[in-house]
Amino acid sequence: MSKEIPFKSIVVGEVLGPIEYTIKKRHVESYTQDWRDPNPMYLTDSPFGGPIAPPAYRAGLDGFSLLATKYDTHATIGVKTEHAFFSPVPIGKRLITRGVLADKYIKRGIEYVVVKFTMTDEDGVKIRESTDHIALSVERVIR
Amino acid sequence: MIVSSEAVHVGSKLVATRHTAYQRSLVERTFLPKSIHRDDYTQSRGYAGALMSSYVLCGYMSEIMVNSFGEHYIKGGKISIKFFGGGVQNGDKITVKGTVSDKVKEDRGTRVVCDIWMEKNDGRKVVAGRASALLPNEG
Repeated sequence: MSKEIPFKSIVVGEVLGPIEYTIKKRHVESYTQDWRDPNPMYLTDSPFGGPIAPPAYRAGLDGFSLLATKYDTHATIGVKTEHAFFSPVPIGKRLITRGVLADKYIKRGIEYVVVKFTMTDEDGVKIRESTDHIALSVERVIR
Repeated sequence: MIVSSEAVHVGSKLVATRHTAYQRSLVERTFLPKSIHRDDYTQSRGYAGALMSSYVLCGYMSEIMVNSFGEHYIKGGKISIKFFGGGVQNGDKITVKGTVSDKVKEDRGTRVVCDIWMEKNDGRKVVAGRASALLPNEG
């Protein structure tokens, strides 16, 4: 069981965030180097008018970041991640992600939480809707 | 790149992507005890070593869809994946593969659904799920 996030302390329905950040050109360049994915849509031009960030950029990280606004997440581990992409992820715009702690459950002795969240840009354009299932730790619950 | 739903058939294979897995923070940062990003903790729990973050693996899984469907995945696409099988460690040779598993008519086009998965060099799957792109109908 998780000592960092006591299962009983988790409040289903709790609002998480918002978290805000801006993806800059240098972030995308770092991504293309680390992932060895020099897609020209990220570096030069795209069908959307100018370069964009990869659609899954930080996609699986924002759920953890939201959870970390209320809980100690350092021992957590992602087990399932889901995303729907509504608009390209813009470079240079402020991105706002709001979430909710949608569920908690125990399966095969491991404790999990479900975080649902939506990203919009500074103009209110919906970018992504996401759901993360996060194990609170790899330690099994003994009850 | 696949630009129309008529150009793709159930059973078609996507062009696989291959990488040496790399997460910069696993090299540059020090993590707290009981973090899955530490070799000592993960190895004490039966893993081969520090686990790469799920968001990094999600990036690798998404790449094959961008390469295959471009803007039709970037706007209107979906992805749902699970992580298992001991995870991925920095330096692992990984291959992401996919096949078209379904085509579903929607108001704005045809959703092309793909089974996608990541294998390590020994053929063991460590990530798997489904992703889709929304392609225009011809005519």
